[in-house]
Amino acid sequence: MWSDMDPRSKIFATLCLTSMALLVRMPLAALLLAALTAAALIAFGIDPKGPLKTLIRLAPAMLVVAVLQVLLVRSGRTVLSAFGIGIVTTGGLGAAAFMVVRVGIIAACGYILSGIGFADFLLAMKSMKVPYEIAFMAAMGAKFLPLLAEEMTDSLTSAELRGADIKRMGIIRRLRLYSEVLMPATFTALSRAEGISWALELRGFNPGAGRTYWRKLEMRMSDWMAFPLGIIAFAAFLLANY
Amino acid sequence: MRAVSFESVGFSYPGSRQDKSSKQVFEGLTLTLVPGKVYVMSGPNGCGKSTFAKLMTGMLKPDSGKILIGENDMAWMGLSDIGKHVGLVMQNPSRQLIMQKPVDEIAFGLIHRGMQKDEAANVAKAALRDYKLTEIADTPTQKLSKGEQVRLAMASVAVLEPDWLLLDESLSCLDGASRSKVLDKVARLVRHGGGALIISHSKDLAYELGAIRILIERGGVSVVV
Repeated sequence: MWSDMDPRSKIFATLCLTSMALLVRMPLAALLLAALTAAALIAFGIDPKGPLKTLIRLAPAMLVVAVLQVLLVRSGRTVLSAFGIGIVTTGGLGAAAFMVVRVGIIAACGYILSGIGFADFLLAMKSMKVPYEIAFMAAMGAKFLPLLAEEMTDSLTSAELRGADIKRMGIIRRLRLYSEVLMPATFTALSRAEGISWALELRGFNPGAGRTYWRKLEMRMSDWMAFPLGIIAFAAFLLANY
Repeated sequence: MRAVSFESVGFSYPGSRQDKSSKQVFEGLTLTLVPGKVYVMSGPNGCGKSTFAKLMTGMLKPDSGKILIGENDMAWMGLSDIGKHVGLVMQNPSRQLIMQKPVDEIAFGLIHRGMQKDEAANVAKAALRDYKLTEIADTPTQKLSKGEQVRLAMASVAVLEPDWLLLDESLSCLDGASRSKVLDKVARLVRHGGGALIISHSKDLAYELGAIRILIERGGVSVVV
């Protein structure tokens, strides 16, 4: 519906959603926030299956964090105890549930932001008076994340083809393998970043230089609507939470 | 040693977020690769050569049809099982090198296949000698030259003795000497009854090796003996 919206509206929407995700305290507000995020995804023309798949891939790591939350947070009523020691509390369960909602919303916001093109992102940041160096670094970082993920996938595939059965591997061995895979992938990403910085400098790239842009971003009615809607949602959220 | 058969395989990439239409790469692809032979696959950019490699190694699953290793349908095999039969040297070998030291890189697969660490280290050292990599035994794998990375990736796959060796445009970044060394190893694998599929842009490679040439063009595959 609003898939061709101005990148500034998308950035504003994701700022509102992630801020609310970090501030959420009440279960009902968390549910409403999740529904609002799903509505934002649909409104921006993003198939919710994408973020859902990401969440499924993150599920094992989220489960570990959730279990730690359940075991370490000791507030609220005791739900499960053994030998007179409270193991699971309502506070722990709540903290785990909120963590899942937060990660889900942040993943969804990542999807909304990844739909913004590199040049549009830079233009949007510039029009918001963000220093060019910071905007460029953020855009480059976002560009490198999928590459990093792709390289890690290739490394893991190579490991599996050589007999590392990740699905049947214990959690410790699996974490060790992931850390081993992360190292070369990060090294490759950094060396590629270095290569790009050399190529940019050799072509006269100078972040401080004044630039003239061919394309200009223009706000339309739907874009202007996103701002009051975001503010209203944020205000309602604050009222519901505090 | 087992043959790899593609039986009426269809595959398409799903549409991207910008372009919703899916991209059909193969439709009804039927092809059998017989062990004991070298195949050279060539074709223009984007015709599906790397997709073929990914299908053959189980990294991608066909939308229709089936891929068999011997009598076994690949759809029911895990990557670690497929890896017993097909060894892959990726287009960009740095992506498949996991360990810091070359000797550990070669030993990685052996240990995961159940070999004791000491024995795996010995086999890995012998492979380093065999692939003329002893001089770089202490160099971090990511700092090796492209040619050395290809040879190391190949050594780490070859020690596992797969039925098939798949080189995905790995020869393009090698100088003459490194290329000869790699091709010698391919020839040795084939002499022992294995098979090799080399994906290459070089039109002459198939003639040079006396290999079977597989031509992929958008929408079709032809085999030239």
